Amino acid sequence: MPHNPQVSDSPESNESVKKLPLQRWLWGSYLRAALIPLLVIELSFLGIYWVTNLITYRDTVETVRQVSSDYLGDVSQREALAISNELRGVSEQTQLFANQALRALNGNYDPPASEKQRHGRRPDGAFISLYDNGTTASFYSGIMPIGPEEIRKVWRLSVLDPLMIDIKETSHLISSLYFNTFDSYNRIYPYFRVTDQYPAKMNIPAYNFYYEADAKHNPERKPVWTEAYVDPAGHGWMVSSVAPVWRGNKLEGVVGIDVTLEAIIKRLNTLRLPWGSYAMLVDRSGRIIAMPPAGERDLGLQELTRHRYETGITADTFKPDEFDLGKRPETRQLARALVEKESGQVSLDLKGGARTASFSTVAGPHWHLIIIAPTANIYAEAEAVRTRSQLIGAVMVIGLLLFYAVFFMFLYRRARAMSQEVAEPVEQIAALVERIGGGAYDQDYDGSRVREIDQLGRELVQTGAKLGQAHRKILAQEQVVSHALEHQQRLNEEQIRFARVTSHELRTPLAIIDSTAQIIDRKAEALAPSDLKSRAARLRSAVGRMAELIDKLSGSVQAKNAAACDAPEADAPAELETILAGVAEKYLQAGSALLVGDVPPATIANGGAVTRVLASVLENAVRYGGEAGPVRIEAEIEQDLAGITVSDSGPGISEEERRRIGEPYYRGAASFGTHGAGLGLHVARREIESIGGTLTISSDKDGTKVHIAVPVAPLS
Amino acid sequence: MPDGESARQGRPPATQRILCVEDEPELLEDLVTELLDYGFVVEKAADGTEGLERLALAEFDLVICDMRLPGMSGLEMMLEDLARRRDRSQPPFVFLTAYADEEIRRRALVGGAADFIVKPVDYMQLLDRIEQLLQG
Repeated sequence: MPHNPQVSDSPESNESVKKLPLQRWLWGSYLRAALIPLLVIELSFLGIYWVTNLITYRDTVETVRQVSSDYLGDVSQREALAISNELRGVSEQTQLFANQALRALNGNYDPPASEKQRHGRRPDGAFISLYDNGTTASFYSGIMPIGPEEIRKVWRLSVLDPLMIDIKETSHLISSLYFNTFDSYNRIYPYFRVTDQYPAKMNIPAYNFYYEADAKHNPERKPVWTEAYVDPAGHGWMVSSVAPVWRGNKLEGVVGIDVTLEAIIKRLNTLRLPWGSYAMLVDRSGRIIAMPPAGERDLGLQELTRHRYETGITADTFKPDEFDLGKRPETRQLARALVEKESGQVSLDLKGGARTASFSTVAGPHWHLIIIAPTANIYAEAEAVRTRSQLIGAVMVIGLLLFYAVFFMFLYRRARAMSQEVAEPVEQIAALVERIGGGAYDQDYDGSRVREIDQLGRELVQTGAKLGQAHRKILAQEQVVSHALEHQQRLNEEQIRFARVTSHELRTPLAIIDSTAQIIDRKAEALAPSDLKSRAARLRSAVGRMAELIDKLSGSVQAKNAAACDAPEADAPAELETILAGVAEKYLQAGSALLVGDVPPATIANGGAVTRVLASVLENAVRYGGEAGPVRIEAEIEQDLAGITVSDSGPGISEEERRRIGEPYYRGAASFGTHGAGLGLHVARREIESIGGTLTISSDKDGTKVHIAVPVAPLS
Repeated sequence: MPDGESARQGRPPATQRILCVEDEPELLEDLVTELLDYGFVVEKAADGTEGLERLALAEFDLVICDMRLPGMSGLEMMLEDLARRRDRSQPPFVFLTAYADEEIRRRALVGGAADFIVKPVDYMQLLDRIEQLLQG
């Protein structure tokens, strides 16, 4: 069979492969084949999602920023236009008021007595209204002499009172309206106690609400708006729309409509602005006209709306420099933008945080409406989109993790269940193999759901059964071979013993013969006839020993043959007493200590065989145990058997020797130094067994007993 | 059988003592006669027990001993004698036996025998061997 070089079955290569439990192997397979690819795909999708989301977010933010910016600009422009429209209305009313004031100056109106009666002079020279009649207040400063002409001017101008009341009602912004003359007469609606408010020598043209309309400040002679200032009339901080009243080239006076900052702020608060933004108005010089509380917080300012009139306002009182955007570091950039552009946007970093300011010019007064929005609010929508995306991403990640956690757990349990389904039958098969290997060939197998494993298990069981059968056959054959080998070994040992015994028993008389021959050969002449005769007798004795040995060997063969043929030689019956007497006679005559007990009357079926066996047994007893004490012969009849026991008082025979003593050519320890072929007992046992009897040997420290049981001849 | 006359050139001094242990009386008598005729001082024993007694009473230059003896074998006698001697050196034992198989020969030589001679033996050759052992 050709060897495949790519396939190595060496132990080294086998050991180099890491062995894994089935469950870990399955789990690893799941990870490699399913989980990791799935995880990589999912993570890729998630990454794509995140990147897409990031790009989308950036685009969205940019779009929102642009839309918000545009929207904020639109709002500021729209609201600036609305305010502009309202202010234009006020300006138009101012112009109307100025026209009517000129008409009143040119007219010759004479008011009713009640009107005249509510005027009077003060001690300081001022001509004033003394009480309210639901119309205007009137104040002629005492800075100049007040004559009849001046009084008539007062009466002529009183015609404006209904108009002033009507104009006041046209707009909620309007807090008061007035007409100031070049000679410091002031007619103002609504009424208030001028005595309490105005200084006696009040020089009205020195105030901004007058001179800002004069030829120097307003050469176009149109209605103009003043800066924010403190109203000397006690209405607090305000701006005024003022218009000159020219008679030819003479400036007769200035009409004005006051709008308090409080009213403007209220108006600003009505604007519908997005993102929590607020609006503020800034005049053309960059000074804040009005702002809501949110603006105060952002700029750290307290808006000026009310004023405590502890003394009269004798000069212009404008807002302080901290209301000037150009003088505040955080709003300087915005101030520059206001100068440079009609509208635009500027980012600010105010006390309240990052702000986006969108400004538009309010046509007419050339103010600026600035809408300031928290930058974060503008991008809140984009942030919300981003947050939603992040939330969705987070939910996706958590969902993915949860899914994989559950999926991993499910697969882990599945791997464990599968490994158990496979491993248990495999372990059972391994145990089967071990048990079969251990010799328990007949096994059962519970089976498996996996067909191949089930088939393997069942085939293993069948193989085990076949191995068992083969093993039992081998065992049986081994037993046969073992018996044969044992038998052969016994034969070999028997042969060795035979060779040893026959060699010794032949060489000893041969040595005597040879020794005698050597002596005669070398010393024949020196030997006396009696010596020669003695040596001849020695030679004959030695030859006799050899002949006796040959007879014994011959008897053994005969006994073997007889046993092998299982056909005892026919023998004549003999009386038991006669047999015992005949056997004992030789020893009794020789003077051996031999005691014969009572002999029951019985006829032995095979008298000759029993005689030979008894003679052999008795010879051994006398030879090996005779010196220690008398040898006893006892006989008894048991049913159809005659029992004869020969016992001596010798040293006894060990158990090992007793077991082997019947083997042919075996000679016990006590036989050392005595002649014999080790055949006596062997032949005797064979002969007894051939006639249906038994020969047993028992021995202890007190001596040895040989018991012979032979059949008794039936009575004739 | 080789002629052993040539081996007997120089007779040993009469002071050399040999113990013969043999249970066959005829063989013991012939062996003792041959050794005495040769000039050795010879004592004899019929079994192992008697042999040990002789060895305890006198020093011998050589022991010729049968292997199978009544009571104890020649090998057992040699080992017992060796055990009894302690510091005294043991004379060489030559086993003269009718056992011819190699196993018994090996046991005798391993047990310390100087030689193992199988019966029947040529007395001349035996004397030559004894001389060799006594000279060696």
